[in-house]
This record gives sequence, C-alpha cells and structure tokens, in this order.
Amino acid sequence: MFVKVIFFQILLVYSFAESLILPIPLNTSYNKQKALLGKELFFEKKISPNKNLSCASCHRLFSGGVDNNILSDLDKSSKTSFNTMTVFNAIYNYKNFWDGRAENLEEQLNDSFNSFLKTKNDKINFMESLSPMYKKKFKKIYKDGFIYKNLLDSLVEFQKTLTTPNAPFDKYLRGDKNALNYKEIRGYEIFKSVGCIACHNGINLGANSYSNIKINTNEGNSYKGCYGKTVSIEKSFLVKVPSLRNIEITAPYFHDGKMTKLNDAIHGASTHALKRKLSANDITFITHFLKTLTGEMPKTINNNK
Amino acid sequence: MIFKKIDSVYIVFATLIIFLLVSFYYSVKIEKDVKAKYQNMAKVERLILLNLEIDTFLVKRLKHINFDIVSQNILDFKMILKDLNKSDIRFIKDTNTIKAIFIINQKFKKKRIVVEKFKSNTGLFISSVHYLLSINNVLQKSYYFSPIILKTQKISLSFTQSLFEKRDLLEISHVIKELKNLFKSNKLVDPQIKSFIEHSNSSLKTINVLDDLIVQKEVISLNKSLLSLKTIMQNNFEKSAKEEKFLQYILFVVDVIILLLLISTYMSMKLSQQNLSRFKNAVENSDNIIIITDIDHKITYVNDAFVNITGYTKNEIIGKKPNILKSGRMSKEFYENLHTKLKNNEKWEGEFVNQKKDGSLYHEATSIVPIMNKNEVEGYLAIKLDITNYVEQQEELFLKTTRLNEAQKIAQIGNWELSLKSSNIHVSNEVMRIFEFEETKKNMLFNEFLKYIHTDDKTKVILAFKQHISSEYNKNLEFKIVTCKNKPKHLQIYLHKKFDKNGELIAINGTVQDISKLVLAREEINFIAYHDHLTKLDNRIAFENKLEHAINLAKRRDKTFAVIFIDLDRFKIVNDTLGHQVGDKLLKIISQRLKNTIRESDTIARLGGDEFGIFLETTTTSKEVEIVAEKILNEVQLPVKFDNYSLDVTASIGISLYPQNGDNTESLLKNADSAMYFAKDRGKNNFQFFTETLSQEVYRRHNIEQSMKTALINEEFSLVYQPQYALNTKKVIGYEVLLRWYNEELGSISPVEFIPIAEDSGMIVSIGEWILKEACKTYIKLEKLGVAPDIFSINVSSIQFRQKNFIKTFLNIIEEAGVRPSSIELEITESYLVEINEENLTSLARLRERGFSISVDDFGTGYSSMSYLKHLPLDTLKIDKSFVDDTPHNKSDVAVVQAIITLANSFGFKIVAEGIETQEQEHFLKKYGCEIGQGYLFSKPLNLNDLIDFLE
Repeated sequence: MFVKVIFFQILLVYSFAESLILPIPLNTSYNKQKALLGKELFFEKKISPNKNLSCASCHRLFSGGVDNNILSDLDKSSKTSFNTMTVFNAIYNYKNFWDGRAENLEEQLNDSFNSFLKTKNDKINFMESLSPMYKKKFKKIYKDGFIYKNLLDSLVEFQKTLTTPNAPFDKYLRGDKNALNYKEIRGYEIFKSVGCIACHNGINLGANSYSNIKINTNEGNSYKGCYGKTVSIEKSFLVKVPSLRNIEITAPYFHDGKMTKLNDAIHGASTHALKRKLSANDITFITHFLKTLTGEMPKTINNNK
Repeated sequence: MIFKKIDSVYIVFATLIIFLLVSFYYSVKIEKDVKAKYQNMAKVERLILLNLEIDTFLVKRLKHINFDIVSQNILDFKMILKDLNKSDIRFIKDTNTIKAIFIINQKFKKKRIVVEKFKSNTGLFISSVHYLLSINNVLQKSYYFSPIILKTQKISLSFTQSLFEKRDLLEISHVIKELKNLFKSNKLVDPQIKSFIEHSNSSLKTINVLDDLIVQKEVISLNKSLLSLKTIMQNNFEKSAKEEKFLQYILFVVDVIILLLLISTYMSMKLSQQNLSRFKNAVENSDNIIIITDIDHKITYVNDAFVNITGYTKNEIIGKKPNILKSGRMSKEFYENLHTKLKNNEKWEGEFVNQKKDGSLYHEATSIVPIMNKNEVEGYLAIKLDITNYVEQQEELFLKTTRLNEAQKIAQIGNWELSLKSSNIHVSNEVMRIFEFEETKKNMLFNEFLKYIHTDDKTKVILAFKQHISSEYNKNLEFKIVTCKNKPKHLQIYLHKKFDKNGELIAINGTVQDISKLVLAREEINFIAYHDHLTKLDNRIAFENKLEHAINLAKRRDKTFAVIFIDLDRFKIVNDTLGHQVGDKLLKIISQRLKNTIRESDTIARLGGDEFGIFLETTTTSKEVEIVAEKILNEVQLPVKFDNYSLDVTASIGISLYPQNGDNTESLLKNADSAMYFAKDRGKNNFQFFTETLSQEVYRRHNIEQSMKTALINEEFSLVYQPQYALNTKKVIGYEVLLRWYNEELGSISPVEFIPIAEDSGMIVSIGEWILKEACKTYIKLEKLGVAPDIFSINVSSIQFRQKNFIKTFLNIIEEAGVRPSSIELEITESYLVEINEENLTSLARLRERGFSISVDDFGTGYSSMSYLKHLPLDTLKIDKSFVDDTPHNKSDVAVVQAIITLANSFGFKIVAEGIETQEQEHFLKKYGCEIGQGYLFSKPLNLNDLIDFLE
C-alpha cells in the first residue's frame, strides 16, 4: 500500500507536463499603423464618459500596466468596484474582468464602452465628440474610416505591442536551465506539487478559468467573490483566476486589492483556493519563483520607428 | 413594312437581353448563395470538431491540462456561432435552421458553464489530492502501525487513482466514515487528521460534482444538435439546389425560344430586303461592266465595275463617248465591223484591248446590243467583262508548259501518268525523247509500253505496277528497255499514286530517267572494287569471296580443292633497281601467263604486290596440284622480254589443301602463304605443300623479318672484327668486319639465318650502309691510335650491287668518314659471280678503278668456272672454312685447296684462308703457298676494345 501511494504521488507530479505553461512569444505581429492609432486613443481622455480619464490613467505603461492603487479613481467621488488589472500580456487572456465575462480584448473593450454607451445613437454621438483629426487618420488606414468597430480594433492592435517577453522563467522554459537559481526552481517545484498549477496554467499562468473559492475554510468566509456585482456565469461567487505574469510589480493583489505583499497573497491564495496552509518556507520559495515571472517591459512604439 | 419588322426585331432583342441579364443575375446570385452555404456548412463542421475537442477535454477526466487550449476552443466556438447567427438572410429565413441554431446557442451556454465548473473543480480537486497525500506522508511518521494510517493511505490512494480512472465513490466514502469513527473512538485531537477528514469529504463532493458535470455534458448533447443542424442545412441545400436548377433550366429554355424568334424574324426581314435590292445589286455589283449610251453613243449610265476597272468616276464619264477608252491597239477593220453591225441593229460580240484612265491596258470581252423601243433604237447597252487576268493566265500557262518541257529536257527527267480506268499512259516530251519515238506521241497504252521493255525485266515491271496499287509507299523501279531505234537503255522510274477528291486511286504517275550512264558507271565501280587495276585480275576481296563460296560449296558436296599462293622471287629488287614502271609491266605479263596456265573454272587473283593466289576448284589429288604448280614455275621462268629488257623471274609457290589444311578462307590463305615462305627458304623457284612443322619454320622466319625492321633503330646490330695475319710473320695485316645481331626476344641470330632474309626483303641495303659507316668509324679510330692495319674487308651482298646508285652511296660514306678506298676490301660471294653479267662487271671494275680491293668470299662452294675468273676484276680469293676444316686429312679437300692456291697464284690473286683452328692446318696452308690466314687459332672475332688491345 505504502509503495503504491508513493508511486501514485510520483505519477501525479510527473503528469504535469512542462507545456502547461508556455513562454510569452518573443515577437508579436501587429499592424503598426493601426497600433499607433490605438496608442493615440489609449492616451485620449475624451473616450471616458466624463472626458477625464484615458485608458492610461489607470493602466500606466511605466508601472506594470496598473496604477498600484487598491481601487482606481473614476472621479472625485467614485471609485472602481475592483482592483485594476494589468494591460500587459492581456492579449493572451481568455478571461478578462474579474468576473471573466469577456473572453478577448474586443469583448473587454466593448463591455467597457457599453457601460456608458447603451444605444447606437450613443455610440455615434460618442464618435462625433472625438477630435475630427481621428477621422482623417482612420480614413487613411481603415477602408470604412472612423467607426466604432475600428476604434476597438486599433486599441486591440496597440495592446498587442504590450507584451513582456523574456522573463527569467520564460528563458528557463526555453531551455536555459541557468536562468533560474536553486531557490526559484525549488519554488517552481512547490508551485507544481501543491497544485497551484492546477489553476495557474497556460501562457499567462491563469486568466483562463474561474477560481472556486466558495468552499468552507477554517478562517470563515470573509470573501464573497463577485456575487451580485457581476454578470458571471450562473451569478455565482466566481472570480477569474488572475494571471501571475509580472505579479511582482502589479501589487496590490486580488479583486479587492487587499493584499499588498506577495507572500501574504500566496498565503491567502493557498488558504482560500487550496484550502490548506503552506509553510512559511514553501511560501518564501514560491515568492522567489513568482518574481521570475517579471519580463522585459514593452517598448513603446513610435511614429518615427 | 420594313420599319415594322425592325421594330419587332428590336422588341424581341430587348426581351432577349432582359432575360439574359436576369439569367446572369440569377446565376451570380446562386453562386453567391452556394458559396455562403458552403461557408456555413464549413462553419458547422468546424463547430462539430470544436465540440469534439471540448468533449475530449471533459472525458480526459482530471488530468492536468493547459486550460488555454480548451479556452481557445470555447472562444472559437463562440465566435463561429456568433458568425452563424449573423449570417446570410436567406439562410436564416428557414425556420428549422433558426430553431436548430437557437437550440445550439442554448446548449452551448449550458455547456460553457459545465466546462468552466469542470475547470474550477478540477483545480480544486487536484490540489486537494496533493494535500491529502502530503498529510498522509506526515501522518505516516507519527502513526506508523496505527489502523488510522491504513485508512488514510487507502483514501489518498483511491483519490489519486481517481485522477486517472473512475473509482467506486461509495467505497471511498465508507473508508472515510471508518476513519472518522476511528478518529472519534480514539478521541484523537490531531488537527492534521481532522483536516484530512474534512478534505476527504470535500474531495468526495468535488469528485461527485465532476462526475455529475460529465453526465450533464451528455444530457446537453450539443453534438446531436450540431449534427441535426448539419442535416437540416444539407437538406435545405439540396432542396434549394433543385429549385435553382429548375429555375435556371426554365430561364435557359425561355432564352433559347426568344433567340430562335429573333433569328427567324431577322431571316424573314433579310429575305424581303434581298428581294428588293437583288436587281440593283445585279447591276451595281456585277463583275461585268455595264454601260448604257444614248443613240449618239453618249454614256448615260455606268456601274461600279466600270468605275473600278477603268478608274474613271461616274461624273467624269457620263456624257462622254465610249471611244475615250480606245487604246489604239485595235485595227480599223475591227471598228468598221462593229459600227456596221450596230447600224444594222444587230448584236455585236468581240474582244477589246482598251485603255484605263491611268493609261494601262486591259482586255475585255464585250457584247453590245441596241436598246430597242417600238422598233426604234433608243440607245445601246454594252456588257463587258474584264478578261485581262484570263488572258495573262493563258499566256502564263503556255509559258509554264514550255518551261516544264525545257526543264525536263535539260534534266533529262520525264513524267508520265497511267490512268487506271483507261490503262492509257500520258507521257511528257522528255519521255518521247527517251524512248526515241519518231512521231509526237502523247499517249500510249500500257501494253504498248510493255513492248519496249527488255524481255528480262518484263515480268518484274508488270509485277511492280500491280504491287504498287496496293502498296502504301512510293518507290523507285529500275529496268532495261529497247527504244524504237533498237537502242538498249537503263531506265529508272519513280512510282507515285494519284487520288481523286474522294481518296480513290485513279492513276499511277511518276518520273522517268535514263540512267544508262549511271548503270555503266556502277558496273565499272563494281569491277574496280573487286579487281586489281593493274592486272585486271580479281583482287584480294574478290578472291576471298570466291574462296569462301568455294568452301561452302565443297562443304556441301564433300569435295576437296587446293589454294596456291605465288610470290615472285626478289621482285622488290626489280622494282627498286629498274623502277616501278618496269615492275608493273612485268607483273602484267606474269599475271597473263599465270592466267593462261589454269583452266577457266579456276580462280586467279592478285593478292597484293607480287603475290598471286589461285584456287583449283575441282582438284582431287595433290598430284594434280603438283602438275599445275610445276606448270606455273616453268611458265614464270621463261625470260620476260620487253622494251629492251630481258628479265629472268622465278616464283615460289605455297599450297594448302581443303579440308586438310584449314576449313576457312583465313587459314587456307595463311597456310598457303606459310608454305610459300618455306619454298623461298628452300632456295626459291619451287613449290611446297603446307605441313604443320613447316608452319613453325615460317613463323620463325616471319618473326626474324618483322624484328629486323626495327633492329637498326633499336641498335641491335653490332660489329666484330676478325684479324687476318701473315702466316709467315704472324703479323696482323688486316681484319674482316663481321655483323652480329642480338634481339631481346629472339636472342642471338646467326648471320647465316638472317642475311638471306635481309636480302629477300631488301633490308640488306640499309644494313650494308650502316655496316660501312660503322666500319669506317672504327678504322678512323684505329688510325688515330696509330694501330690501323693497311686494309679491312667488309662483306657486300649482291643485292647491294644491284642498287642503281650503289657506288655513289659507297663513295659518299667513305668520303665523309675520311677513309681511302684503298684501305677497303669488298667481299662478294661466289654465287654473285655466277649471275654476273656485263653490267655487274662494269660496276666491279669501276669500284676497283676507285681503289677498292675486291675479294671473293667462300670461294670453292659455288659453281664458278675457274677459267672465267681470269676476266674478272678481282684481287683476293678467300678459301671457304669448310675446305680448311678437314685439311690436311681429307684428301679431296686438300686437292681443292691446292688447286685454288695454284689458280690464284697463276692469276695473281691474293689468297686468304678462312677458319684456321689448328697448328696443323696453318702449317699445311703455309706449306702450299697460302700467305694470309684468318681463324680462331690466331684470334676469334673481337669487339672494338679487344681489337684495339690486340693490335697494340
């Protein structure tokens, strides 16, 4: 019996194929003209209902694609419902928003705009309200000119440029066994063996499934997920499993931004999701591993380049 | 009426265009529809595939999976479904399809929830299993043999296994209960075990949820709905395809009907139009020039043909008279005749040569009719046809015919045509010339033609013509004819076939050529190829052919025959000394004699140079052959006299017999050749039959002859020198130069063996010159050393003497070397003396005049009459070694030596005894007055260095 248990334990660990996590591609293909237009729009404040926020207001490109706030300001009196997630590598997400309702970036953008553009007329007026300069520029690149659909498309195209390849762990995956040190590799082993990888897998180590955190814990249920706030499937307490890419620089963590330290976040995730307490040692190792997921920051594209 | 017709055509035409446009539009639309349908079908197929992949993910159970893949599948499915929802209106119109898509939408929503739940719970479950295993590991250390550990092991193992296969959950739950009871009954407080039990329970729940999800998936049966959508779409597709096809067909039929209507309308319209304009056209577009004049001959109307041909415009000519066209080529009488006829109101017909506006002339056939109205002449109608081309063609045709005739005359090739219907042969002028017909005869019957053919070739020609009718190819035929003037000719005709339009053979035609000269030339060439040009005998090729034929014949009839090979002795010398013309004449005469000696049935040929071959076809015994050979030898021996020459020629003959000495041409000839060589060896002027041993001797002789050819170049010859000494004083007074030959393959060859061969082949001449040069060099060397004796002797062959410029060559060599003639003694053989004549004698005398000494070698062996010697310009006699050998014991030899010495003394010749080997011999010779000796006793022949030593 004992031997059998050991055998299955080994089998279990080895059944994690390496391909569960894939590195960020070194090169992404995108249409530069469109991406440049998208970039312009990314910094355009007029695209918000109160003409006071651009995408870049919360998704700061020089601080990990987030604003590092618990919740972001919408105006002087209101804040967002959830912690802002990074735009970096968002192009590889299958679940966008905390409730994961958008499965690609078009849907994500469309949903964002739909929150204040309810009707067709709204959209037309919105487009009219933007600088006429866009009309000219879009006409040059898109056949059908400056229409809502192309506005989304250019933004998506721009986000394709916002990837962070060449993280040490990616190098490791690509075969450079020296890219990680002992502690980091140990952290990765624990990450696999305690089952983190069961949810945090895929190219973005997450953002491709929902986390079920409804199960009773010893600490009691302090966490109610998205219930009542989102339109997620079956309106349950589900939130998406967030991506672990660049986690080191995208604090604070979780949908409510409660955790600011990485080891606290690991502790929280393991107790809530894995329903077990990891030793401080294991958490330290996993922290080391997670820090290797920080890649090269995206190079901003320019007209002259 | 016409307007109406045109209107109706327009209407029909417009309808046609409208319908065509409709058809075109419709077909484009159908194409678009089909494309859209295909695309939609492809989408559905893709959905089915994606669904299968999603199912695979669920069926894979709980193994770790990269959720990206299934997420992408879900996303793709969603997008395609969205696309399908939006797609073409016509496609959506169908309620069944809409319904099916609606159901799929619903099911997909459910399925997505299942998948998402499955994903979440899988993660949860896997991490729980990990946790259970790790707790189990910890517990093992503290509860080693406790029953608790057995339970935890069993539980964790079962869960782990359930990741890979379906496990009995009841059993697991039972064990968990047991563990719980154990935990309670033992009143344990270990939080680890508590945690283990909690996690086990939650895992059990999770695994139940997962199994339930898989069941849900089945219940949703998205695949079934997709398949039914596919079927609906396929059915719709087929149905609409049928409808479209039918509609297209209808449209096509309508189009065709309208088109036919249009055509028939057009045709009827065209017909009426034609009727209307036919007359006008007839006049206007007629190739005939039509001119109408009034009574005063003033032109009132001309048609287009007139304008085209004459170059005058209608405006120019109207009002003028036709005589504007006069060329002046027509005679007065011609016009008078015209005018008289017209005056009498008669029709006039004739040909004009008229002039165009640009001055060029043209021919026209004209008929002029007075136009009568109530018996009054109102005007004239002239209808004219431009016949210039016709006239020119006629002229050209005439020219061509003449040219063809001339060409045939020049090329001497005629042509003919045999009509198969009438068996009449139409022939050209050249054919008549070839057959030398007296009168012009353009046609003759095939039977008449056969009369001229030589009787030998008649059947051949008839057969060839008959065969040619059924043969596919054209061919050449050669045959002989006898012309009208009884002259035989060789003709070559080329047979060709002529077909009518229906491909039916109507005639055989072709060319004919007199090839008599060619045939003669061909025969001559044949003669040259197989005959020797000089003697007109067969050549080697002909001989070998005939011989081969004879062998074949003899084989079949079991007969024997003989091959005789004749070679003239020393013919080369005749050629070299008297010139080729003399040699050729000699060959001609000899060949004629040879021909006369044999029967007509025997074959003789010149095989090359001075070689002749004969084979006696009906010889049965060797005796018979001997008789013939004898006859040949006698015949050849007779002196040949011509142009002041009188030559004595002999022949050597070799004979081989079939089948004893070979059964093929090659071996028979080779063996006869060998036998001939043997005959030469046997002193020439005889014949020999081939035997096996003979062939070996001949082989050696042949080898020697071949090797000798390169011996001078390879420096295989060398000279040795045998000193001659005074018997009294034992002092060297001279030496004889002797030739030695060493060949790598043959070894040392005795001069006795190779000198005759060198003489026969004529090579002795160049060898002799070489000997003289070398001997002179040696002598000069000796002189420089101060040891040279007064004289040295060298042997000269009679063949050398016969060389025309022998003396001149000899003197040149000596002069160049710087040796005086008085230092040289030339040794000639006694046999040369026998054949000496006036000419030889003078050359000997001339040599002696120059200062050379002449000595007779091997004296005593020949048959020279002693008394004859007196008249010869000689200085020395050398007694042959064979006489010296047996002296003083053999009495007859002693007598001969005594006689020679006495004779020489009386004539004043020096005596040299050769081959002295003993003291006894030397003593004997000295005693009888011989002064000079040569032999091993004194010295053997020495090489140059030894000679120098010896002399010093």
